[in-house]
Amino acid sequence: MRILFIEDDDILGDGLSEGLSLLGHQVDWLTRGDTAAHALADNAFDAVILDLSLPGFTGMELLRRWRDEGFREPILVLTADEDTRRCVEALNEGADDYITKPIDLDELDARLKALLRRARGHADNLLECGDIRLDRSDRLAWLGGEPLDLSAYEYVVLESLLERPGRVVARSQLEARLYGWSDGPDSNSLSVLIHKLRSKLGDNRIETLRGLGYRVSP
Amino acid sequence: MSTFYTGLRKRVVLLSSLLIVLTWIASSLATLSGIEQASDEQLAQRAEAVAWLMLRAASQTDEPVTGDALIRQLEQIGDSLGDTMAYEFGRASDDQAMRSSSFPELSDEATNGFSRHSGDGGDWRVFTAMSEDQSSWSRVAFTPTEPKPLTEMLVLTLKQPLLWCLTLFGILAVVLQSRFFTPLKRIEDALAEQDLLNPRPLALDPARMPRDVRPLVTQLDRILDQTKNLLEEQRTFAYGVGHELRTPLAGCLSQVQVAQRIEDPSRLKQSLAKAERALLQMTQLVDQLLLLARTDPSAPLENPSRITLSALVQESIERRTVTAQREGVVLKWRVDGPHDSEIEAKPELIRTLLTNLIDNAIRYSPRGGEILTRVDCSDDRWLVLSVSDQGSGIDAKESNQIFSPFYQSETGKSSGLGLAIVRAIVKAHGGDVSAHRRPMLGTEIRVVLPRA
Repeated sequence: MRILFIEDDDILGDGLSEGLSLLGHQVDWLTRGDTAAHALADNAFDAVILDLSLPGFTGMELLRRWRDEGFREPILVLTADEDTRRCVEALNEGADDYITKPIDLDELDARLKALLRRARGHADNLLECGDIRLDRSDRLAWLGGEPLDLSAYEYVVLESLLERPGRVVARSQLEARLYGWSDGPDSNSLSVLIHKLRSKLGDNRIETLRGLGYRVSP
Repeated sequence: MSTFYTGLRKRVVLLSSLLIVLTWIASSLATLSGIEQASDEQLAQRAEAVAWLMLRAASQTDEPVTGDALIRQLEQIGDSLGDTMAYEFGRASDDQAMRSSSFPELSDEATNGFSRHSGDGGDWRVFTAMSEDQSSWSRVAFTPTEPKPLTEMLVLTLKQPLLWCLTLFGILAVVLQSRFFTPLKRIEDALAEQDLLNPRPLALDPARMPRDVRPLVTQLDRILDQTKNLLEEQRTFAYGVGHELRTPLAGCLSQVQVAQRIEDPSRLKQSLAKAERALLQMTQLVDQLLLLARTDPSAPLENPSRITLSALVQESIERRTVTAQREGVVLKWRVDGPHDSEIEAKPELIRTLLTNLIDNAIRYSPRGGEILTRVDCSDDRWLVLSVSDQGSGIDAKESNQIFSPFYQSETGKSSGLGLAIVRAIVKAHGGDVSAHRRPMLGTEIRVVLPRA
């Protein structure tokens, strides 16, 4: 899951982005509201974690701005307030969920997954396409009931493809999910990952549409 | 008499009843003595007239009426009028004067006019008329009206309209006292509705209150308002403590959770170092809270020492220079004025004050900005310490709030407790602190301290 994370406290920001990366997410961490304002326009994110008190623009201002501009990414709001009024305000402004500091990493992960499920219209953490099954909660995948041994990157690619079975996922989208704003290991590493996945799933399960991207089929 | 003090109502009723009874008695006495005086006066006039008539009748006619016959006739008239007058007529040539049988035995020489005698048969008033040649005289004596007993007088006045008025007044006073106490009752009701955890103004229109009760309402409202502000401050404070602790706490937790999940020893070390930093932040916050709690603005300083403010300014500037350089800010300072800058103070508190002011200025300064700390010694009673930055300046409405604990400015840069501690320290030293927007740019925080 590619996550935009906006938090001004450097220790918390570092800890959560590190923790979420360990859980297999691609995290892009920004510390100022004003620099984050255009992040959604230029990049595809699966979810946004937004701290409410930020320098530049406040979290609430960003939220309002993004929803006004029509961005529909799921947004989870971080707050240091016990006071539910601000959380209610954030929800009314278009936030999808909120979580109060201090934050348990597993809870944050579960909430992000739930947000993504809802955003994608899935009822649970299971993704399926034919006999390929993927469980997001355990980060496991099966082919015809047999567990698949996938690396973290392979898992991310398969998850991205299974989210929209039968539809094309652009190369750039996949690369963003994999590497975020940091440069990937090298330009053809995605091709290498696809190749490895095909060797585990069978050659004809992942189609290459030249110039467009990849598609998984049953 | 203890019941007298138990109830205001009882007191008013008792006092007004007492007043009514006293008024009644006084007015009765006044009326009655007026009546008595008037009747005594009438008797005296009659006595005077009769005495002169007797003298004339006895001396002017050619064939003088004998005193004896005259007295008999006068007694007859007096009887028919219901008088108790007694008469005497005498001539210098006669040994014996003629008189009524009831006429008192008088010891003194006869002189013209009224005289009073007591003794034989009670009190007498006597009028003496003397002929010009002193050859004959006549006297009329009467007893002045007896003062009647008090009860009889009061019974008498029962028949007077005054008493009815007073009775009516008394009844009205009892009936109206409940109306009289309505404003107090309304205050009581309004107070009974108060929840001290959420005080509100009494919502009593002062214009509808009696004028002498208005100050009470105003004072009560003022106290309620103060309580409200105090509670508000306390809530904001507790909320601020929670809020400020939460972020480092969250940072620490996240780093610990990361540390639990990684195996790489160097990354593990990094995470633990960051968790430690978060813990140190929290420790610092707790230290600040304790300092704020200890710096009681109302208590006098214990064992202050005489210090030179400019020396401490120099020292603090030197200590913050590295931090300022890192933020791209230049620290300057100067001392103005002819006097020294000695104050009675706790040096460690003044150091904290200076550090907090300078740090605050650094936080709000743009890169390349300049911070001027100035000690103005021109006044001989007060020292003025000011720290000015070139930041975006402060709104007028913010200039008081920034000294409240955990006040968060719109920019999201939390001023936390720094300026709240500054205010507490300044107040503890008997001074004052204020924030001003500078004419061109930036903010000036001005501290006024009494000289040693």
